[in-house]
Amino acid sequence: MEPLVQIKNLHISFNTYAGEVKAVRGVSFDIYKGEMLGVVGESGCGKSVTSNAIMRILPTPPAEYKQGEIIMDGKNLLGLSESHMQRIRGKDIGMIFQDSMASLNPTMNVGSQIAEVIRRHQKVSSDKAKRQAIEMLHLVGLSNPEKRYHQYPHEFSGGMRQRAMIAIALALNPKLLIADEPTTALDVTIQDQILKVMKTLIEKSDASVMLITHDLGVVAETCRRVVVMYAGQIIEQGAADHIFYNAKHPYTKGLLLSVPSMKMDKTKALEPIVGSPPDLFSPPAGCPFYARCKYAMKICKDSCPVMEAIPENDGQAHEASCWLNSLNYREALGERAVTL
Amino acid sequence: MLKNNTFPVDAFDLATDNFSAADEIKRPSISYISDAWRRLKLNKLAMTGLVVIILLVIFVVFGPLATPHNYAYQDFSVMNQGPSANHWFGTDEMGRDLFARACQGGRVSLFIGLAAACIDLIAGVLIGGIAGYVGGQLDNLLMRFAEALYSIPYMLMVVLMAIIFGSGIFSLVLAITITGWVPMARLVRGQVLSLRELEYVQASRSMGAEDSWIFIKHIVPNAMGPIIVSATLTIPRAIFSEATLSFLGLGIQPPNPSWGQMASDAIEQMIVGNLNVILVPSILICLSMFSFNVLGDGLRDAFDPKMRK
Amino acid sequence: MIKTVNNTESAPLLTVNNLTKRFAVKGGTLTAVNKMSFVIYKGETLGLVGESGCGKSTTGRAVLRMYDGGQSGQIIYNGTDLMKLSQKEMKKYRKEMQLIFQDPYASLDGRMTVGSIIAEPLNIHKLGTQQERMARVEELLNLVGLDSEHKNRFPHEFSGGQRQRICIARALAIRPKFVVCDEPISSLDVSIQAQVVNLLKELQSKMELTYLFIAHDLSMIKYISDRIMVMYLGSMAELASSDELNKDPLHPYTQALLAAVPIPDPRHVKSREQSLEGEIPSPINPPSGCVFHTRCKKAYAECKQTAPEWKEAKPGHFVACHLYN
Repeated sequence: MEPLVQIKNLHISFNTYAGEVKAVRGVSFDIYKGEMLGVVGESGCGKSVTSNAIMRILPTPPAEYKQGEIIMDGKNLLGLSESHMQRIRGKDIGMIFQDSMASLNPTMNVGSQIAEVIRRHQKVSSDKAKRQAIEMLHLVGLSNPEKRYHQYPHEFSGGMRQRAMIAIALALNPKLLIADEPTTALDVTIQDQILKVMKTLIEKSDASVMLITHDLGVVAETCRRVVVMYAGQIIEQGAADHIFYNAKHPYTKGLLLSVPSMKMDKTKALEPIVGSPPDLFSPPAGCPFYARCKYAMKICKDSCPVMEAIPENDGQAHEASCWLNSLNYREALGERAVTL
Repeated sequence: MLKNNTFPVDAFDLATDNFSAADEIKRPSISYISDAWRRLKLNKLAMTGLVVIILLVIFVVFGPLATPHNYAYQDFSVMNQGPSANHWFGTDEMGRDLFARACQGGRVSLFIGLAAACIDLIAGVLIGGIAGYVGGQLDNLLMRFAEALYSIPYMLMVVLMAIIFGSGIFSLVLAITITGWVPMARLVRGQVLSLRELEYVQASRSMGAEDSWIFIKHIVPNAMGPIIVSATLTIPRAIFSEATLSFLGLGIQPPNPSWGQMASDAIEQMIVGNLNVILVPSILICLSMFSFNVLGDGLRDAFDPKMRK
Repeated sequence: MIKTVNNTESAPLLTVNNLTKRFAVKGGTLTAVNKMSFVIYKGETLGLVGESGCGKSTTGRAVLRMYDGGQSGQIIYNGTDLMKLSQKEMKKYRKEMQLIFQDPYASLDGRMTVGSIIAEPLNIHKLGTQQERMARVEELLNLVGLDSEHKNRFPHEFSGGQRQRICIARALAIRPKFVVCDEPISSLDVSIQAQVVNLLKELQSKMELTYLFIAHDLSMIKYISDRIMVMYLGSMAELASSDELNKDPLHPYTQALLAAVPIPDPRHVKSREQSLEGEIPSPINPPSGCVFHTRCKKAYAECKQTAPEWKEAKPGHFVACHLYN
């Protein structure tokens, strides 16, 4: 399958009062055509910075693209001019943000905001754009779309605003939809509805989706492939089945144990991961997860593990970066080697 | 780092005590004030303003000690002279040393500016703060009183003060500040209204804190940013007001100098051809106003959390 | 009535009767809390669950008398009706009842050091000498798993989970007996939520605390609650022990809530029959009869006419639904 977007060795830093904060440190992954990719990680792991980098909406300064490429349609997005990027945003790449109230213009009615995106990229009459906008509002499941067109964001509930954001993002049938924590701020029953809407629309349009979230339940429900990020790096990626049933990194494993599942009974306590992610102001030399890892070894402190392929029965790619998976470790410890 | 891809002997032994760094914070700690100061230092224009202000203060405080001349001493033999080794800024139409007059005038002008800012600050914070925090009828009363006072024409107030208290520094300061505190009070009230609803204030209240505690410990420190900016910008306004009034003859009366008063005298001298006499006070007024303004602007940017880099 | 909590006999710490809280808003009166009656036993954790706008946060704050006016009913704490006290008289009780807020970013004053933030309740109530207060601050920091060194740092230097731990340390500074946790984990990453929930559980047994734990998410709440109460649009829908609620939810709303939670298991297929349609109605203009009838798949004629009674459908399991009358 052809990758739609290829991110190669991305390094992004922020210049702050304290010095350089290395937010993204060597991130590489692909997004394939028509797939729903989940990007999972805690706050501060770099997932939002990566997605903002694809859209080139990071403020520079203080952000700085130190290294790497983002290839889409044969072009490196990081090297394009701003006017070229403006043609791509909205048309080829759409984005949905977490805070719908802040992302919608409070002084414009909702319908016009959709129509605006349409007219910026296509030469259509304002009537036609309005009709397209109303059609989008209908597609995202809003009742009475003609009435909704003229309403303002503050008249919408959180779930409705998020539907409006989806309408704006998908209005021009983009190739890639980036959804940055789209349902985190919503109630669980509304989240359910929004995810259903997203899945239906995506299936119809064959767009690729990069869904960023820290909620493993949402990922399990919607994504075929998962990328796990920690402290600015990718520490594991693979098919959803692999990640949930055959996790090969202690962080992924720890995440799965710390999240409640309705099947688990109450007497079995949750096992949280101790501590907090490291301060990327001076990232650790070795494995970033060292200070919180149950399986940490001496080598983990000084040397960062490399990404290793994990063999799987279904042949799909699965890789993780942990010394526990390395051949040297398996050979050195033989029978006593830990299997996650 | 691994050398030649060889692993040390104890590479795969379990690490001991790796959890000690689990919650470590590596970046240096910085308080809000230090951060604001750091950001101000990056603003070259604001720092220039600050330096000029410091120099002006040194000038007016220590200047009279440096020169042998007295600001009021008239020597008709040296009228209207340009700068010389004896009279560093030259002399005016009555033979008075301009350097000494500039220093003395500066003391008056800067004092008035500072006094106006202080009074604005105290009155504004107290009245605006209480109105905003207590709200309700008291807020209504205080704000309507402020608005009524503010609507009295400025010149009328000046003349009234001059009649009641005679002319001089006291009545001048009073005239400038008696209605000048109203914008500050409005600003403080607005700040307090928005801070009052914040969660950390509610947290304090839930712990049993009384209103006075919340006001002093939480509201005032968090409102200080815009208040300091406003106070800083009051100074040049007050200096200019004084200059205008003195220029019109309503302010400092001769022979006491103030920069505005000196400028007023000097207008007549421009016809005679002595530019010195007008240039000295004008440049000083411009310099002081400009530096306070850029400093105030710089402070506003430095204190604004949204402009944090 | 004595209840068994953790296999020990326990007396009620807080009894709430017909608690009602109204707000005057543009367009009418908003009844955020409508005649809530419940009991919290000493040493237990009562979970309170509901979606945005259901009034759960308002309930928590109303119980702590955080509002001036618009409130009626009884709040009996250790024999005293708190509703009859003035705010001044309440100050004494505020030492025993604390609140942990949802947003760890907004509930800490960014200008103060962490040490002064945690010491604030001690300073307000003038407890101990300066030295004793400092020692207590360090003790509390260690209790929540942070370093004593952190007391000189400012809130913006910490992560969300760490800030919430600071809030917990502050709430426990004056050794309260009852803590209302108002959605303390909602704004944290799911992986950090477990940390905070475990910490709260640990502290509960160490310090003999009673919690009212407010959340909008049913999955986490069962790990910390003994009993769970479900609210919808200001009214109580269901109340049962957390095991019982998970095994046999009776109210259609509870069933929908449970069904909507995303399961971290890619092979799990969600049943769509219980998912809710439509939006939550406005609390200013609530639906007639049973407030849930507009979104209920099992609603019938009676539901629109009359509000259902609060009945004990099974021992210890209460529900307000016409299906069980």
